Amino acid sequence: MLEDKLLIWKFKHGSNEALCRIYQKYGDYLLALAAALLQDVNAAEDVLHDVFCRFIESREKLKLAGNLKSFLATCTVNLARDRLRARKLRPCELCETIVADTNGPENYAVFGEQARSLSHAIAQLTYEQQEVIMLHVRGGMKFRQIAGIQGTSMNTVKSRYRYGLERLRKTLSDEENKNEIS
Amino acid sequence: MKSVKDIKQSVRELKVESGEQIHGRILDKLRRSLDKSKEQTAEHQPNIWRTIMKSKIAKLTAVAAIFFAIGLFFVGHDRKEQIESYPKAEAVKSPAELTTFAALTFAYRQGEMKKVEQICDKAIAMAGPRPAGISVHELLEDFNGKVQKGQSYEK
Repeated sequence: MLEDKLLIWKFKHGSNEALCRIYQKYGDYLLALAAALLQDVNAAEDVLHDVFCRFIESREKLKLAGNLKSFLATCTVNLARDRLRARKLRPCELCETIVADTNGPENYAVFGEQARSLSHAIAQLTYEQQEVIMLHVRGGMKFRQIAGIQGTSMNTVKSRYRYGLERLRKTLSDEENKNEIS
Repeated sequence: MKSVKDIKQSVRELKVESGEQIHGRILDKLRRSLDKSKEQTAEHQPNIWRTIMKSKIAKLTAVAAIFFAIGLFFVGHDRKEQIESYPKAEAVKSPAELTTFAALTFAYRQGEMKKVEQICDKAIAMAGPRPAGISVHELLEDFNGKVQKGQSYEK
């Protein structure tokens, strides 16, 4: 936390090293978050780039009251949501295939072979459930913060988390059973 | 069957493949963006008017300063007019008038108009009637006789 404050102070004064350190610290998490939400590495890369570009643009006005990680995660979630909304409004064949075929080679390329079944299972969840699970489990964000991002009550967020995890467990178990039979 | 704990662990370990290449690309772009942003900031030096308009307190202070400056201008202007209205040139036109002016000022300082009137009465009684255009030299000659060689009353 103290390191983050120091990094932000340096970053506000235009330090390249501070920006690199912030990126190295949170880049992996944010990329995984964006990739899990969008199920597309290229789009996730764009989102991550946009997040940091906006971070640079607002460098002088930036007043961070809370956690830097949460702040960047919130920006990533919002931009990913915008991108998905735009994708829905602008129907194109390529986008449809990416969204629909989450078990295909595109998804395989996102998280690698080991996490393939998990990312496929995550893609089966509703978008809100994906957000809650990724932000809470991967990002360590509190339900209260996630409720703020999603604009709902904390109980709704908790329900989404519980149902999401249950659905993940079920999907993964079904897949294991299928593999055993085959 | 996977437990919830295992699932959570797997989610925590989720990592995008070929992430290193992606990070390298993004970092390069970001460094360039930051340099560009710094250049732009250096070009756009903070405008004083923009700084004033940003905060309410600064705005009020600026308005107060403007009113104060206008007030000072008017006060200074009036005073200048008052000073200029003194007929200095006329006062120093003749030595007799200058002497009178000095004597009257001295008398006024001692006892205001009453003293001035007293002095005037005394002077008239002492000297008797004299022409209006008389100089100090003539007046002194009148009282003390003609000036000797090498002597001078007016200096």
